[in-house]
Amino acid sequence: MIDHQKMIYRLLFALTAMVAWAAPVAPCLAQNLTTADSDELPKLEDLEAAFSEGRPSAEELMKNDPRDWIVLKSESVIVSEPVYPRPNTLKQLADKLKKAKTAAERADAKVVKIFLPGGEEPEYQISVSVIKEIISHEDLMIRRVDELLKQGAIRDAYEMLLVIDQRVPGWEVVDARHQQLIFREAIVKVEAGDNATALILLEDLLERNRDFAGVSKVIGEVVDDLTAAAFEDGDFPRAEHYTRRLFNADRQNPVAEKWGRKLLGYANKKLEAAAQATEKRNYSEATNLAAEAVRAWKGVRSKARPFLNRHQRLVVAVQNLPGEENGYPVESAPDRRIEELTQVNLFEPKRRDELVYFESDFFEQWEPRDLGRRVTFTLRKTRGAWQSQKPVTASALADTFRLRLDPSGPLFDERLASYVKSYRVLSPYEFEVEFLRVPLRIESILNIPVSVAGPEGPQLASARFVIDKATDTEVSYKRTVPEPDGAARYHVAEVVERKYASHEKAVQGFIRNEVQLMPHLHPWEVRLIQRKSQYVVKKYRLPTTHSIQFNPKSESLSREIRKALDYSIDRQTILDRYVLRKRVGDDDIGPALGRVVTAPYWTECYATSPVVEKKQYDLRVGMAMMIAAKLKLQQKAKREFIAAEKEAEREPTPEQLEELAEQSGVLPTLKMICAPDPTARVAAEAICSQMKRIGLIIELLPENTVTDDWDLLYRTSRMVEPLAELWPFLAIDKEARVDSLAHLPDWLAQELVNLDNSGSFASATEQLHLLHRHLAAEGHYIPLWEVDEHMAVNKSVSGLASEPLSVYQDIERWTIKW
Amino acid sequence: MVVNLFSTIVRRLSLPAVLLVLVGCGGAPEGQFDKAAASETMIQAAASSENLEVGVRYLDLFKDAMVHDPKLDPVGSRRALDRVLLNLQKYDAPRPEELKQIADKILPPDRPSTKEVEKNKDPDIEEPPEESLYRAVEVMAAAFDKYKAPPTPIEFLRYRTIIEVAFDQSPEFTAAVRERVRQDIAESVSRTWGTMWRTEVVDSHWLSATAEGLKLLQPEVLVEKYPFTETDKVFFFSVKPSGAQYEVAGVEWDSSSRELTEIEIALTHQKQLIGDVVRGLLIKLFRPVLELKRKEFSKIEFRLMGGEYPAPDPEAAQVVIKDIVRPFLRFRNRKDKTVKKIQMLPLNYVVINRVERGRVIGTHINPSGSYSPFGGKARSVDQLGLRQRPRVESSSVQLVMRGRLDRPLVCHRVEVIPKLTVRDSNLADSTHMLSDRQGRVTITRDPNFTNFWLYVRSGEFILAKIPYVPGITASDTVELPDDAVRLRVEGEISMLRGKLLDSVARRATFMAEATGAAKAGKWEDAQAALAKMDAMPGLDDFKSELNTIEVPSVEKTTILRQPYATAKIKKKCSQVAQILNRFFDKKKDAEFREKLRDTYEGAVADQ
Repeated sequence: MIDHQKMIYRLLFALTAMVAWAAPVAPCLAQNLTTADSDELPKLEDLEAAFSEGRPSAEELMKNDPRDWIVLKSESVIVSEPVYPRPNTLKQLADKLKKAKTAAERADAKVVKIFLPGGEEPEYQISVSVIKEIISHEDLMIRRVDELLKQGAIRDAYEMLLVIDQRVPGWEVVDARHQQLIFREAIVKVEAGDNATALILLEDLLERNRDFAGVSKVIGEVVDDLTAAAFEDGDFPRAEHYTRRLFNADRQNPVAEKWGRKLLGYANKKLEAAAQATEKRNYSEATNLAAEAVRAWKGVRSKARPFLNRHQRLVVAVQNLPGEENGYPVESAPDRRIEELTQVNLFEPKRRDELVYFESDFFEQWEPRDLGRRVTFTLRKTRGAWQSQKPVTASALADTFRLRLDPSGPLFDERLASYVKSYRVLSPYEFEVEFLRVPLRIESILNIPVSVAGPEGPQLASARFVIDKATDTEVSYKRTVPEPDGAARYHVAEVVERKYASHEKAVQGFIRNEVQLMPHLHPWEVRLIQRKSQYVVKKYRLPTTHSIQFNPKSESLSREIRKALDYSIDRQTILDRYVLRKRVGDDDIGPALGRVVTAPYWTECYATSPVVEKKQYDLRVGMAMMIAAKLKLQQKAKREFIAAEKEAEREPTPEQLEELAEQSGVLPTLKMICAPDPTARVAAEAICSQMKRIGLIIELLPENTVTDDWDLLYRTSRMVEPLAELWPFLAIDKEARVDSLAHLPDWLAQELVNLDNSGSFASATEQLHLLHRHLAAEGHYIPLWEVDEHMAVNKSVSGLASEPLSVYQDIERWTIKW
Repeated sequence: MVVNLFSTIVRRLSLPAVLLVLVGCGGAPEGQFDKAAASETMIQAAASSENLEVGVRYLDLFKDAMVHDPKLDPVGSRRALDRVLLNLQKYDAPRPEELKQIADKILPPDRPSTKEVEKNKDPDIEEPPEESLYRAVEVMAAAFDKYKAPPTPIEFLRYRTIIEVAFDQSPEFTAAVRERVRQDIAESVSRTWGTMWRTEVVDSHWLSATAEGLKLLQPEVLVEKYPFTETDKVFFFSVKPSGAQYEVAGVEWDSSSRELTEIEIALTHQKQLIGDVVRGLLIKLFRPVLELKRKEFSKIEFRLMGGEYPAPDPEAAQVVIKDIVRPFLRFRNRKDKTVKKIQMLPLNYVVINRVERGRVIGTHINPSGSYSPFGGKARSVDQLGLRQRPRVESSSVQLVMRGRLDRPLVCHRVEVIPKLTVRDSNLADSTHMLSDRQGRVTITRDPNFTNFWLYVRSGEFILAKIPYVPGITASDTVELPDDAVRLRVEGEISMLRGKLLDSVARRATFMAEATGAAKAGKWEDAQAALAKMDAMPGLDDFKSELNTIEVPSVEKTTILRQPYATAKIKKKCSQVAQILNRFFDKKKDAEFREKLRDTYEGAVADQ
């Protein structure tokens, strides 16, 4: 059939070419010939019948080569390769003819050049005069879309429309079909009971074509159903949300007006109740009611503001709530955050340069005497209205010292006890401490809260915020001492920590304004959030340091394995690729948010020794160390075996020794615990993966695994004062206890003790440098990198330090503007 | 006749006088003195005084005197006199001055002098027996004038004790009540210790009647108030009502060691039982005194004060096997014999393993490697000991730097090993602990072991091996040498070894690279790898680093006069130097290079 058609075409086109050459007679010739041979061509009627039956199918139309139908006036159809110009070829040729100036241009505008399918044939020309119409491939596709829409095959139709849109961008026919498609899909969704999706589709449709027939009615019905359901459920924010969406999409829709009125009424009722609660001085309840009113109808925000300002509630996105077991053997970032929120220490870190500086909310002054051996603390007699902790007297301080110095008590502070010789109350507001040895930085050893003896043991007497309510997903903290009435300005009265299943969900909640504070952002999120004007990104003054530590109880870790790890971690690559997720050009935007480090404290710290160099990544040395570790294992096993044989009065055979060497040279699989931090986890996974290259298998234990059976600890820390914190860090302990040094070699333990006993800052710095040098060489822990941490806060929150040291620094002075 | 005379003397005087007479009779002509009859008389005399034990002793004494000095020659009489006096003193006999008085009483006032009697003596007339007695007494009386009594052996000395009781000012402690309590105490003491103690119970008017008051007692004051020449032990008790009970607190003052015990407190519901409570406290507080007799290596023989007067109450036995004696030295002025100073010997203990009345034998243990002056020869030094029994459950031992009590040795490893002497093998598993921030370790008592050995470690070095008996005192302080310099060297060497390990690994990689290149026939690459290897720090670099560790450290320890540390540092550095020599063996290096060349040539030939 094809061959026959081709022959006819050849003849037809040869003649047409002659006609074109012999200008005036050509159309006539072509007309005659076309009439004569057109009976052999397929008829339009047949092709359309086949099309209705699904030939070609949607899939064929999309996948196969495009074909145009050139319908001759004889109703015969020539199926060709796509003709040009397109679409509307005939119209475009007619326009061209009108504009033609030369004979050649005119001749060119009078013919349609086609290629027959197959690609081997030369170009043919058909006179426009014999063509009735040209149905392009895209027309055929549109027709198929229409067919599919009729059949309800939305997905296929949509897919096909996308293909058409790609092929002919901006074709108005596609847009119209698209709208129909959306509407049709919305109807399908409504019929399926999926109103929420239908609403999205209808909103989209309205955005494309506000006058689309029937859409207003349908969207009204959809929103009415959704809002009514939400209202019935008592989920007023959702009801308000749908109403607002309808209002935004279709301002004139009566349904929007109906629900707007209803919700406004509800919000006003709540505000009335809030006013009543305020009269009863129940400000927390008033805030609840006002917040509910605002959630139900945002238009009442200005009316609600007085209530919200009186009892300001800050909502914070977190991943861990207090008391949750995360299996992390040392104090984690969530622990520190909660501790900071719930207790006020005698001295607290506030600023830093090379050193961290402490300030005290309790003491008016502290005066050292007797070359620092005696210090008289004078307590503040008045407290600021913004302060949330109860006033403290000298007797409470005496209680604190008594509890901290009692070796049998739960609060025993070994380090403090080693300094304090005696203490006494001089007056209700004066307290004197006599030291056995002069502490280098009194502030760092008194970075402790005030505690008093209670009936059931020690009680915190300097609480900043206390837990008010706790559920599985939220914990609410309130000021210990509320702010008084009549203040010129109120501050955050309540902090709600809301738990999100993942960091990504938390960010989502932050962007949706569900929360006002994100305590931590991933490095790659910083610039994204910074771009948004409604948020403020604050950089913490201290970076978070990542390192790997070893379980002192682990028997699997030899010096060689530790060194193998140290050499084989490609720190810079992991930092760039997994921790910072650096992209090309990031370095041009600003300073890097992370750096490879050599110590467990920040790089610019006074404790950093300038002579310690970064560990060079050398996989070959790492492998050599692994071989050495295996040999060591083999030698040990051999020694033990020979000793056992000797005891049994046997002589080990060479075969036995060979077999033993094979069996004992297998290194154990190490288990790693990771800090509860998604970034750290990603990096830990990368490290585990890298270690496979040197034959060291590390199993990363799942999150929240509570076990003592671990070998490696991926740790994140933020060391404020290395002088005081290096000891507990190396000891993997919360406090600087002598017992916790048991696993360290004596010389190293003594260096830490000497550091603790340093008599001057210069000698302490020297000792820290020495320790830094020794630790770097010995590989008792593996320093990785430090990452500049950031918090994101809604612009409505003010009063934060420009570069805070911690999440809730100065929280009592924060204000939320509604 | 003689028997009658004895009976008369016994009646008129006392048993010692009888003995004296008997001794005098020893010089009587042969046949005029019936030894058997005299013995019998002595026994009867002792029996009549209802002191059989003393009687038996007198008998022995008599026999002894007779055997040794039958003729009563001047030298022999002197010796005999010594023995007599010694034995008399043992048995609480009168002192020489008293004996002189006794002799004066025996001799008739109108009796001519012995010289005159001798001069006027008629050889044909039998001398009356009384005359020989008189003569003997006279000779001895003359001897008494010149005689200086030897010190009484300690086991024959009774404790001169004073019990001072301070009563609260409460009206319920009337004079009668106080008197009653004092009597109860005196009776209890008599019942419990019998003749071992010569006790005076007094009502104290200066002592505070509280346990806190007892804590204020100052040894300096007590030394003056209760000199050791007059008193051996003073027990201070306070009695006060405490709620519905009575609190009795007591403390012992030992005048030989000039030491107070810790305060013991007991409670009772009944006033009538205060005496009994005091007795109980006395048993706890009383620390018997022992005197060194001889020492052979670690074996020590003591003489126990009052050891010859066993306590009637077995509960109050002075010393039993496994008891601990704390030795000390009492230095006296040569001239007036006053006490110059007391030197306690901390961490010196004698573990008792044999007790025979006043003879006590034990094993002396003292810190390993340290010299103990106890048992050595010294003039004007009393080598004494106090028996002490554990009275607290655990003791805190503070480790401090020698000569620097303000420098506790923090975080030092201490192994607590149960064994008697340092050479013994462990009796049970040892316990490991770390000294705390005050340099303290707490050693808990174990009923199965008398003493422990504390091995204090500093890195790879055992700083001290110290014997310790927990429970005797609540706390003790041990001075140990400063090991900081040597320990720092240990750390530096550990680092050096770490570097060496790195070097080994790197060299291995370069060697592997060179071998690989040689096998592939790429000699230039192999040479490049070798060049990298050669550029690494070599033997000289490591040795130089080792010297920078060793030399200043040795200088420091020399200045600080720590020869043990100097030796250890040198030894350690020498070991490391050997390791370095072994690792950077030039011969092995040459062999490797030769082998590499062969490998390359073989590879080229194959190609």
